Amino acid sequence: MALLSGRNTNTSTPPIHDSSHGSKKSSAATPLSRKTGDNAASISSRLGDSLDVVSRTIGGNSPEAAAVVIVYIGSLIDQQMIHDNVIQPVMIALHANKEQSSGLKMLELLSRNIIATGSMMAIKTEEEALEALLNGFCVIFVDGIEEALITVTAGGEQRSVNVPITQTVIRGPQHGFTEDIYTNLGLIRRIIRSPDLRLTGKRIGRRTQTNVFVAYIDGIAQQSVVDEVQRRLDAIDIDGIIESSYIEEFIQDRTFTPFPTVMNNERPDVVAASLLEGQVAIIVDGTPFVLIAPVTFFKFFQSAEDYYQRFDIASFLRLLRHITFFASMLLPALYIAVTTYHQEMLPTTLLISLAAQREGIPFPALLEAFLMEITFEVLREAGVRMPRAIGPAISIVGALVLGQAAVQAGLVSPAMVIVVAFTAISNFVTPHINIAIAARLIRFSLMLCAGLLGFFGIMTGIIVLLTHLAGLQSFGVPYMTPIAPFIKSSWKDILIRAPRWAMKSRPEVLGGGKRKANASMPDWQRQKKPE
Amino acid sequence: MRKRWVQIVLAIAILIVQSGCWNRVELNELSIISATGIDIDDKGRWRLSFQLVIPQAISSTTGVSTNAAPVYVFSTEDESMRGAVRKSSLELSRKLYFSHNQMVVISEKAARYGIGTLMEAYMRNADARETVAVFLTRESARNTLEQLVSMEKIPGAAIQHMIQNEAANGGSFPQTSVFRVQQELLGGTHATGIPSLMLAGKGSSFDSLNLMQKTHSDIKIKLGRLGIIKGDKLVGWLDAEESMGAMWLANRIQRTVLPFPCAPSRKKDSSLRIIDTDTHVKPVRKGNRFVMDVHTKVSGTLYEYSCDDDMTKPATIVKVQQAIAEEVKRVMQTGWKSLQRQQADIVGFGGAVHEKFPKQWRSLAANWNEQLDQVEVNYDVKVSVEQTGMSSNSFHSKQDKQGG
Repeated sequence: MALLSGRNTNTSTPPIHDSSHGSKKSSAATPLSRKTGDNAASISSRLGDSLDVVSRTIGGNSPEAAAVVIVYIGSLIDQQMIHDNVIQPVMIALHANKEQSSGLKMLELLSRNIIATGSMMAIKTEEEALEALLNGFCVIFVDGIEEALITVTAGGEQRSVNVPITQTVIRGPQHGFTEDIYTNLGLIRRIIRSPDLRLTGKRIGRRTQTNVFVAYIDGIAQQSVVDEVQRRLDAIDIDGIIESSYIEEFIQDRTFTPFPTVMNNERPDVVAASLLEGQVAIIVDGTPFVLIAPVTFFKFFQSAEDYYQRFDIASFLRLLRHITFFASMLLPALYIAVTTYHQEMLPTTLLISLAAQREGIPFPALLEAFLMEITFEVLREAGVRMPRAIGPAISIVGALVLGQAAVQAGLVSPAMVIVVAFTAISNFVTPHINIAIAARLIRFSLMLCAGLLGFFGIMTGIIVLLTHLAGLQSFGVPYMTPIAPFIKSSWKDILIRAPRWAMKSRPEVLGGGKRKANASMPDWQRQKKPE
Repeated sequence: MRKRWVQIVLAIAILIVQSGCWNRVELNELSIISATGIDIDDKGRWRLSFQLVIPQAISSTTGVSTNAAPVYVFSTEDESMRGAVRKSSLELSRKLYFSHNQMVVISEKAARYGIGTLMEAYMRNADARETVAVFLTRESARNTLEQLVSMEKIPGAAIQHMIQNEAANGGSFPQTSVFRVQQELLGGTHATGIPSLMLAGKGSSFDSLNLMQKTHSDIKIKLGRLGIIKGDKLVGWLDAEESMGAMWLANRIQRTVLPFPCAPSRKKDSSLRIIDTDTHVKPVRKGNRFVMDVHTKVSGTLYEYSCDDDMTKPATIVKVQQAIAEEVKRVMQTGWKSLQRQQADIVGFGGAVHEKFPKQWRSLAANWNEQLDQVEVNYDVKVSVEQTGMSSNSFHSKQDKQGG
């Protein structure tokens, strides 16, 4: 029997099938010995006699033949808990019980009457013992029987639940996921108190044996999507999973695209809302970023805030986000095209003003734009990577030296600086950073198109882009839903956000079939008439 | 797969290199034309003058001294218009850029010779915009382009705004674009009116920034008369009042101030601000001749009123409205008479007849302009004074009342 690690394990959790690449089944199971000392020594040596492996011998006549040996990895467990609930009761019991029963009788005594922990299991092999130890269990060997008890004592320092750093809202829940998967699962469960919430676990990573949970709501999520997610997860063969992006790269539909087909989020409320819409969440141990799939293009422009603010301002902001996304993708390209090919499109006064600014600039507009864009990308990257203490220096160098001095030196025109700056700012408006990155990359190719062929080039670029987008899928869902394919009912939550009671059905494609589920206008509101 | 990548990379690389050969033009490789002038010499050679904008001298952002003139004027000559444009490269470092041309000025001599060549050039070329304003001038066109306009940086744009302002708030002269000229000259009557520019004042020329240091200028550019084009040639002129009459008939008055005498004996010392006006022409056959019924509705606010009438009485308002109607009628008559004299229907009567009597028009079209004196016009002007302004009775009458 394989084990499920963690604090809240109980027998009702479906057992995880030992992922075939996880632990090598080929190495034959080593049965436990009757002697506690042998068992403890063997386990310790298989762990390389690491200093954090603790064996506590209790009772008996000699260390080799102790009545009970408790083995645990000190760095993974909760010291207080193991002391209060395991070691202390065992010692008191053994001390009180002078005749010292052993074997199965002792095992059952310990399991039923003495050890005060939530879950308890009997194991028979060393491999099971090792797996249990590495997941923060403690193993209790009893003299005279080839079995051992394992119980949950996992603990250790964890970051507490905090305000999400990457996705902030003004109004709404202010807690974010942490690195601890059980905390994260709890955060979701506490929002969706439904027995239909399914959390199925897996171990992925040959060495890291990372816990991965697939969460969905039975009856809302499409079974085919859930199965597809499970299938893709099972197919992953990798040494280690450090962050959910490892999994994302394995399960995403298309690698060679700038557009993300899996969303990540560190907000429990967003994950819960996605589950309620029929999406599937993939929660990975060790990272606060939970994956959500399937997603469509327009999902990336929905901020959690949209649903917490009034629908009018939410709609306005969402439109703004769509516009700025295209601005961040197109603005430099449009500027290049207009100033080098289509000067007749500008109002005369603007043209003259731009022409005056460009007077004496040595580079073509395309090169000028590339220079500034690359400069900005360098600044941005420096801003993310540099140690916090050097922050102000970067802003001074960036703003003054590069911006102002470049203009004064006559290397770039002030209008270009404005265009690049606005482009950069509008890129930050997008609530999900991975779609903003897509715009960032596409911007450069569109600039090139504009520099080569003007508006015609931009148009060509956009056509190629749209063709690509129309062909993308995320777990079987067309990426551009509900525009292509056109689904009228889903439009209420795309460019605008309709009032909550107006969104009567769940997103069809994600939820599978049309279902009246969300809400309807309250009767008292409907009946109200102006007097 | 690798081969495909090589192909893509090669295609991009080649395209980048090619871009230099295509029509990519950086902003600082353009010479932006703000106005074009057209003269003709005795041998029939066109002399094209261009007013080029010097962006550095106009935009205040660059630190270049603002003592430089904002525009540069030069001329080229050739027997064809485009030939003259081509010759610009003999003396210019940058490509001539026509898309932002604001106006074209035609000298009287060139207009009398015929503007067909110009219209042809505008119709055939993509970079010449038909929205450009057209003017005539008695002087040479080049001289007109050389004039600066106070308060404005680009004279071409300034003059274009001048005619816009006049058409919207004055009403004596129409805003005439190349497109409109083409439309009317290709229309039934082959006649149109083009406003003219003139140099007014006693100085010689307002062509130096030094003259801007004074609080006034001795000479300035002004809208003068309306030139009548028939066929494609200039045939005569209308003065401001005659032109305004024509504008009334052509329903091209938008908002203007109309001075009128409040009593028959007085001078025109009262005025009405016209808010809305509409003229409708209805041709009626009378034997072989045509009678044009002109129905005009005018509504406006009283701006000035100099008589002593009691404005609180409705009867007075009726009287005022009659006085205004008489004045409008008089202006229209003045305009119509001068058009009959010039034998040019620029107000669209021909078009109205064409619409109503298409069969008869076929025989009339050929010499409609020459038979204008056969056309009788009936005027029916309805005026409504909507408001009397912020006061009712005139200042004088109030003073008298207090005194008495």
